[in-house]
Amino acid sequence: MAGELGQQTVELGTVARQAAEESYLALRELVEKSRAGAEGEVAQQRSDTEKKIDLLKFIDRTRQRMLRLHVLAKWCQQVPLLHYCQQLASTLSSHETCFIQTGDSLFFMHEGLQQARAPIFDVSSAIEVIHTGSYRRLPKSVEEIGTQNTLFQDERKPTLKKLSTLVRAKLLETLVPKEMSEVSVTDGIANVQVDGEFKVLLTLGYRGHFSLWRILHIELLVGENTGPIKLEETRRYVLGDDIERRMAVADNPLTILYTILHELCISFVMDTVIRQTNVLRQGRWKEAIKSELVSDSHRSAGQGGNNAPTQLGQDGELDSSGFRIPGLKINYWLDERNSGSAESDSSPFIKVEALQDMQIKCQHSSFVLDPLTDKEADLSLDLSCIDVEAIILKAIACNRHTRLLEIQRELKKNTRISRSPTDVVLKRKEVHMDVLQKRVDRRGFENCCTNEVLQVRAYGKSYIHLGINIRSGGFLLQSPKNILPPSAVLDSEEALNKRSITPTEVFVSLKTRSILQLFAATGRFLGVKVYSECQITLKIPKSILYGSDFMVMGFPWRTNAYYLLMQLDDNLMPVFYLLEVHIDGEDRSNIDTTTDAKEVVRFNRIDIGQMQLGEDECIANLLDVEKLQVLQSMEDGSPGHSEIDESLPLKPSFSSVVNAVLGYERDSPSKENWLSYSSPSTHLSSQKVGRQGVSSRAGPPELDDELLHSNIDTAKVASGVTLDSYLLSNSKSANSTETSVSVPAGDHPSKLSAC
Amino acid sequence: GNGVQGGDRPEDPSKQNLAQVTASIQRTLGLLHQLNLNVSSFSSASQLPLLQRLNALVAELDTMQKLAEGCNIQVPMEVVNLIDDGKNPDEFTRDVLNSCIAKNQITKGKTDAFKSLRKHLLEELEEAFPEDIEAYRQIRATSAAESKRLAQSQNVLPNGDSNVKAEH
Repeated sequence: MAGELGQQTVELGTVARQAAEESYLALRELVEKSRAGAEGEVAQQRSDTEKKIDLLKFIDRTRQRMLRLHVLAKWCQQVPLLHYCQQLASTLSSHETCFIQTGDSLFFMHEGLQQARAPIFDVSSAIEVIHTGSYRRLPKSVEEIGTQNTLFQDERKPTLKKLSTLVRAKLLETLVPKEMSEVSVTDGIANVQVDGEFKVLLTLGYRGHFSLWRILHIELLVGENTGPIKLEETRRYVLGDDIERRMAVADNPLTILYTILHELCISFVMDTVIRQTNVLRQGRWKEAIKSELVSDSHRSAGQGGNNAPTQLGQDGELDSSGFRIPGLKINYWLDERNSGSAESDSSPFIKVEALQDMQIKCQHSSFVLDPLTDKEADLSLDLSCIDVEAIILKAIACNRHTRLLEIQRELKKNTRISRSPTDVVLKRKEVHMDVLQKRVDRRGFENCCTNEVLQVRAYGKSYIHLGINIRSGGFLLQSPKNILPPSAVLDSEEALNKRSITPTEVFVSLKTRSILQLFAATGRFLGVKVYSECQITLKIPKSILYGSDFMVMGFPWRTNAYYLLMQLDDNLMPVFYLLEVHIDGEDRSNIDTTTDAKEVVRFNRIDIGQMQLGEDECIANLLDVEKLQVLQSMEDGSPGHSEIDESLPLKPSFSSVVNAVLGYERDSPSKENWLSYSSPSTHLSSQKVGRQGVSSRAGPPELDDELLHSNIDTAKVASGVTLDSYLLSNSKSANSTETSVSVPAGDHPSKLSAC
Repeated sequence: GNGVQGGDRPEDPSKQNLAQVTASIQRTLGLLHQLNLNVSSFSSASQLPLLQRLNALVAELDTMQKLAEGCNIQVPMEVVNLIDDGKNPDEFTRDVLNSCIAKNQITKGKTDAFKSLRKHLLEELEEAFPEDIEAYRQIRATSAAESKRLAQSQNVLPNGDSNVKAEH
């Protein structure tokens, strides 16, 4: 009440002022009225009485006003009291509010006291304690203390049995994915395993629900050669929790479990593969392989030794933000790029990717055969021991095998190269173990370490080997030094790698050259000068040439009018031509420096087949000088018709020798001259030169290097000569007759300008 | 007016002002009275005094007005209305006081009720938990002495009363 009083106030001063003003105005009005009356008409003039009355009225009113004002002013002395009372009132009202709050809190406390007064007793435990004297389980509220609830030992077995039964029943109900290879139940724990991927231990009882699964343990079985990948504890728990939750809401919990863990394994595997590839790329296989990530959304390449930015993070972890697992394409044999082609590269590759069914598959770019099984190569990744290098090596080995096989087939079709089954053979050579650094599994070892080569026969037991470089994919040609010059081999190798000629052509050429080289060596041994291309230039008519491989031999005495051209025909049979070269009064002693090309004036083919040879084996003793003398004495034979069609303007000594030789041939056809001068005759017995000409086994037998340097003094001559023996006898006769030939036959052949 | 204790210094000028205004009003009243006499018993000789008194009246009114300007005392409307009605404005004051007293009584009653509740509660609790109550009493006594000391040192009490009685 007091709070409501005194809300509206007015100022005393205002009231007083207004009162005074009104009084003043009233007085003025009176004055005005009287003045107006005075100045105005007589009729308006008020009488004194009236004036008096007005004045009295005015006074009265003013007095009233003043009285009231006076009362008010007097009252105003109480204002402090009023204020004080108002303060008290506000204090009291705040007290009031406090009391109300107190009352409320007391009321609630009363409620709380009631609850505190009567705790909830665990009647069931109490009964149990009363009846049995002990308790099996503590009340649930004790759970919050955190003590573990474990069963007593004697209770375990039956409980576990019951649990196992439950688990088995649940497993029967649930759809088990077919990829799960092993499902077994022991002691209430279901052991679910997918070979090569993961193993999970499951039981029932997720958050108290006996129809939901709980994961006890997850183990991954994928890994590298260091062992399976280890999941950290915290990650395993988090993963387990997440999978449990999903299994609880899914219709097919085991399918979900499988899907999630399988995807995890696959990502791990791809992750490992990519990481290993990166390591290889920067390590041993630098510049030899190239890898690229293959996926639908991105395509980023990692070249040679560079650190290409890929969508992988720093350590190669896959970015798992809703993104398909990328595949990997590894290119090897990078040099195989066709420089002119429009494609980026055509080097072979291996593609490792996770397909639609989330299985990892390794594919090779082209069809390759496995050398061990002779079927299509199966590049499979062993998930428990991921080794990308092994895959690469296997792929390379298979590819190499396939290529060599193709070349082998191609070569076998060609009769010039392949005349018997053992002419072209694919061989595998074992490499010593100490060459390797680390242990590889047996199959891989066999594949990558065996050096597979294609063995192509040059002649006899000399072979040319064709291999393929593991790193670059380029061809490697190798041959023993004595059958081919290294430069020829290198040139052929280069040409083969550039794909400018086919393998058939290469081998034909090499074979030809090797045979020619053998003849050359034989010739050198016999004392004939073998010219290389740089040493002599002859304009040989193209009609007599079979190809670009031929040998020109000169005769050891100082003559450069006659040359022997030796080449192989299309069947790789030796063909000989005697070339006569026109000399324009040159100094014959100048044998070595023949710089200008000499034109062949005449040529004649020497048909070996037509030459008669003795059937008997008469191996003349090389050291038998007596026989030599005998032969020499028989030199003066009648000039018979020469085998040569045209009569050549030979030098006198030459012609006489020719005649002599030819005469010998007719006289003693029975005697056979032996071709070679190598001492072990048994070595040559298989290489008989028959009347049919040079056998298909390509006549000249192997000569060892040391024999070439043997002394020609031991030359022998027998009747029934071949050309070589003719030459030899010529040299001997030259020696003995001391003709104008200044070069003694006894000279070391190495002194001659030989190739 | 009543002699109100504890008059503050700052109020003195307003009190003086009020006194002056009151004095002015009184003088005005006196003048009016005299004027009334003059007019009612008018004679020709009283013309001049009449005019003088009129002038004095006007002057007094003017003075009053000037004095009133410095007066800023708030007057509740109820008081003005009471005066206009011819009633005693002290009635208003009396009402205010009465309501204040009434409120005070009410609050005191509540306080007493709480005090009795506390006493009762302590008695009952003492029967049930004697040691706890003993401890409680000690704590309470210590804190009460503490606050008393604090209050005495400050020498400011919110309600102007003497020191709070110690709790029993």
